[in-house]
Amino acid sequence: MRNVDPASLSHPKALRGRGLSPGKAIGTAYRVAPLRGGFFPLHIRPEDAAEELKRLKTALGVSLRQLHEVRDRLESQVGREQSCIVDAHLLILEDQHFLKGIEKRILGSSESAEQATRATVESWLRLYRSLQDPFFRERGSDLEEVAERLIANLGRLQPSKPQNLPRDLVLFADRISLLALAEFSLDRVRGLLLNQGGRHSHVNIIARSCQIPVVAGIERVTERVHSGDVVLVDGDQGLAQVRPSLKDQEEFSIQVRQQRQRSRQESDRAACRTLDGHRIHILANTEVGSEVGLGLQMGGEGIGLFRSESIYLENRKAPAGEERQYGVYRKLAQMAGERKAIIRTLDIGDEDHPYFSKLAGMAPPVLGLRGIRMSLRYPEIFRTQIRAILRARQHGNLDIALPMVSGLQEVRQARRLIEEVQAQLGAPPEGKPVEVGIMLEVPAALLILPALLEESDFVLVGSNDLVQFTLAVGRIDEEASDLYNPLHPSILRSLVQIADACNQASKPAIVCGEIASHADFASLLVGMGFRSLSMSPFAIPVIKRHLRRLRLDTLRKAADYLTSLSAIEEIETAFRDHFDPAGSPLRSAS
Amino acid sequence: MVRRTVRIRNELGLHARAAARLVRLAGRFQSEIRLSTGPNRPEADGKSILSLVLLAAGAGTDVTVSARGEDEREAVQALVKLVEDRFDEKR
Repeated sequence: MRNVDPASLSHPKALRGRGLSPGKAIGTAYRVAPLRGGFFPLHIRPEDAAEELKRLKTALGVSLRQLHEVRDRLESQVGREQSCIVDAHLLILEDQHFLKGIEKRILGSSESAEQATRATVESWLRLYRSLQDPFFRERGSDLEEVAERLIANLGRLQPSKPQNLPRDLVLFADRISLLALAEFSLDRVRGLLLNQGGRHSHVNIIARSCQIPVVAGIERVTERVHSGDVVLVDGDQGLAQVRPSLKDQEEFSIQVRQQRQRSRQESDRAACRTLDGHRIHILANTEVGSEVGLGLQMGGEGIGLFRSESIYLENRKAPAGEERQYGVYRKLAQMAGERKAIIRTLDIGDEDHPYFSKLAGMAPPVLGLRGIRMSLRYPEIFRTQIRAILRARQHGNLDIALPMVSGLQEVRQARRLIEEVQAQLGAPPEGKPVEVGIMLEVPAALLILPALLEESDFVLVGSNDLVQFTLAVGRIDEEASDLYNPLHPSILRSLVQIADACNQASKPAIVCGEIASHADFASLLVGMGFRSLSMSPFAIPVIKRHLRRLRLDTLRKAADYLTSLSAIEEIETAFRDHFDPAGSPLRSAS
Repeated sequence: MVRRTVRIRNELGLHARAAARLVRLAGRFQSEIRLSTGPNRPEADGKSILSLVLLAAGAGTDVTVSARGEDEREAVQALVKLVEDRFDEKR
């Protein structure tokens, strides 16, 4: 078999290539098998060797049976003389030297049956290739043919259990196909070392998007690296180091850690684009001042929803005064700076607040006198809030969203009040005038959306309430919790209608309900046509990373399909099939 | 041990089909059977087709057939006859 120079196993080795995907990584080398005859693991767990031998025996039996059939067929057609050639193939499968070689590799080196077969064939072929006489040299092809059949038959059996892979993998191969790469869980793959590989290959595009450094153009990589070697990969320089000294390893791992930290922050803050380059705006939902900083730090491009209730809930006896509110909004404006920050005016809904419950005459008013309705009924409370917001706009970019809008008149009245307050305060600060948008959460608003859009600067889709009101079920009603389902066809169609109407009117639509915080639903929303999502700060990096791996055209098709369905069970199945983030991210990239 | 040398006379020599016949025949005997094309040449196992073909024994090659075991005499006799009969090939 192959002679490995023992010295080469201990000395560090530097490999030079081209950096195709930037970054530094450290990991354990693992060889990826080429895809001839299907993918198979190279190694098994030693304790599974007996089972692997059984697989081999079964596949041998199948192959022998097939070859006997071939021989019989040939014999009846062209006679015994010619069919004898198949005999040679049969005898290879019975050749004890050949079979012992395979078994030895399974038992001794924990190789999978496929790999053991291939390696044994390879060592025989080396002998055949060394023959002088071309006629006999050619005979090696019989062996190749037989081995291919055997491996194919192994492939039809239950696949062998792969050995436990190391956590940090540096895959190496002459070249690697997307399918072979997809066999690995990508969050374990730290780097790729290849001989052949192009910058624009699917594999490289995936590697870049997953921040996996790639060094290609390493000649004889499969001979110079061995599975199990510690490898340092430097995709920036196009270098790799095999079996580095402990000192090099330590120095490098510090660099890797620093870079990982940096790139994680950068990538979280960087703009989110789908794989095919479409820009998706990711904003943060926040409640109190301290969450604003968190939302921006986690990579929010702005504050899509600032809920103002908490200021009111501080004091349960009276509404918050203007100065207290101004202080909070000013801080919000200062933190947001140039970025967008949308304040939703007072909407006491689910929360119990004695003062407002008394005003509304019920506790708590899930329906009825809520949001803009309450604000217009008690304009002084509204004016105070608007004054505080407009004053705070001196310090940054603040906009206003009106909650629970169900009619055109509400928007007009609210706008008039806002203009009055602005007039009292004097000229607005330099920069753009305050934008006033509506929360879309009452189904009535959806039905007159084009008219509402003429009076609104943007739409904030409050899907939580939209679902409860459309389906007539409370979100926190435990008895009917199974009825609260955002995948209900009516909800999907409502969402599509909103996206279409807003896109047509060129008014931004931001989804700020809980659905935007879930990777699967967020990608569905993007497929429906939404380009802005606002979510809890902690969801931001997850959603950004998820959307970056997907293609808009794929999402659009899947969303179209989902919204064409009318049965909730079918929608749920299709949703799992097309949007489940547990599915391979590669599926939509190929 | 019994040993005899015989010259390959069929046109294609000890190619796949001829080797297959030889392996089938060798398999009928208990004895361990070896073939070699010369004193410093590798030995092949008469029951292994891969090692036999690897002898690359073309027409005109002298092959030494040896057998060790209960039926060594019969084995060598039968195998030498097969070679002399050109493996029942026409040329």
